Amino acid sequence: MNNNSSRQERIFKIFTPVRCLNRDQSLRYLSGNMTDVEKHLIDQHLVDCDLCHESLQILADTHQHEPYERLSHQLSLFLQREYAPQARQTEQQIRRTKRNGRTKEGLISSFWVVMFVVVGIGGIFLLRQHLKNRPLVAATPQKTEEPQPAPAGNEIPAVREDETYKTVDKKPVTSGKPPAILTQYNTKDTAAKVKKTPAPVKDSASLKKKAAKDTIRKTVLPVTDTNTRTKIETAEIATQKVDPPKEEKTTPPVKPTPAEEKDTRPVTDNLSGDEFLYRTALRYQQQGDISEAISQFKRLSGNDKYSERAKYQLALCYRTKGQNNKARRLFREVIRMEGSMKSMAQAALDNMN
Amino acid sequence: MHLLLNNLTDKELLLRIRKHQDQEAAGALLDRYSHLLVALSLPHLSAESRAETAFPDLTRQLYARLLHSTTNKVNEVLYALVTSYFSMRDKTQPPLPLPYEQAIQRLETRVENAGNNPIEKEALAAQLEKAFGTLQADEQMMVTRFYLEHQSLSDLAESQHTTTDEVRNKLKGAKKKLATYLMDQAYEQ
Repeated sequence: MNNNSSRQERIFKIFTPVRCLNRDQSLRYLSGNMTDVEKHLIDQHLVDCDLCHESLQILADTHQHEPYERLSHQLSLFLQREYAPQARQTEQQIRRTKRNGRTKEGLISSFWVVMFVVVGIGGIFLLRQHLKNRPLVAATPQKTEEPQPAPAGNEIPAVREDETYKTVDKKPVTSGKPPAILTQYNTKDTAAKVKKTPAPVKDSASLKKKAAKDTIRKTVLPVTDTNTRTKIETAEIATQKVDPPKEEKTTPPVKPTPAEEKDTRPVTDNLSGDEFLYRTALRYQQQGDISEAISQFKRLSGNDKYSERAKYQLALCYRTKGQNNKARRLFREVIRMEGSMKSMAQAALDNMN
Repeated sequence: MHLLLNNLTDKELLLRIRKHQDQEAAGALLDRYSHLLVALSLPHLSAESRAETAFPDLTRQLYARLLHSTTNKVNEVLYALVTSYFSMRDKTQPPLPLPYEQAIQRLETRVENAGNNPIEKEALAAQLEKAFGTLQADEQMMVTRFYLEHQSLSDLAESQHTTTDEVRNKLKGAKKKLATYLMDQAYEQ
């Protein structure tokens, strides 16, 4: 007995619960085969527990010991069988769920692997497509740069309907070399051609239309040799690059002088359609093909930019043709327009009167 | 796993049963009280055949009561079940705990929770001493000799010239008085 513990500790034992008797304690208690401490603990428990107290009273009858041991053993086995197998089933279920989980995880992982592969292959395919398309995209700026000369090129054929430039273009085709590479050998040929041609570049107002057209062909050709011609072309291209703003600002519709006429001849490549038409009409006028010049100027008379100049030139054409009334009417129109050609038109009208 | 469950207390096993519906814990707990169930049922069993039907039925009912009851005293639930099962009482409704049983259970919980808290233990000891003073002289003597001097029931019965059952009943009555007194004191405060 632990009598050394204080009263405070001992008094708590009144309300300190003690576990029920186990399987062998009950029989040992009845047989008195236990220590005093254990016996006192069981006594403390028996005070509170009706179950153990009544069980011990029942088991005090020795006849009950045999069925007690047998039935308690059977009940213990029953409980183990009743509750433990369910636990095993739960273990099996847990295993099944684990297997199912593993299979699901495997399926999910394989799915994601397949998806990754598909996405990777798709990405590579798209990248290849992009790389294939990339040079084309990169080349487009080069193409976009080309359209600037393209309109000129488009206009050029229209311009080159003029027979003079057809003859110029034919040369490099026959020689098989670009005109820029033309050497002395080529110049000799052209020079020879120039020598062979009669070169009648003079006023041919008295000639007929066919003769005038032939002279147009010949006048373009005889522009000395190709070297000088290429120089002129380059110079004109340079001037044309600067000209368009000047034309817009200054608009020098002065009376076409011979020098101006000379400048207008070789301008081909970078001219606009109206300007080329105007110059062509001027050329026809100078060469005496008045009716052709009139038709060209009539086309331009409706244009705002060249209307005044075209009407003035058209009036001159009518005057040379002898149709003075039409000439006067056009001079009056030019005067009414009150442009830069007003004074010249007024002077011409005064001279006619 | 079964061995580990045998080392757990009734409270822990009940927690597993009620919270997780742990069948294995239920088996361990029922197996712990199976011999007491058999011992208590032996006078009521007339033949082996009846035992084969009664014990499974009793264990299932016990499991159901433990699952839905709030008390942690399996022995009281089992005793009430067996007595009701073999009697003509209503077997479906478990008996409600009496007030003194609630007071004893509350006091036991308080002693258990006091643990190593010296302030709580000192206060509780003072209250118990005060309640102890309210007991009758023979009750004080028996409580002192049984709980404080560790005399056995049989020795007390011999000294009092009575049976152990009477000594037990007196000790049980003294505990009821102490518990109800402390509960009343707690309500008065």
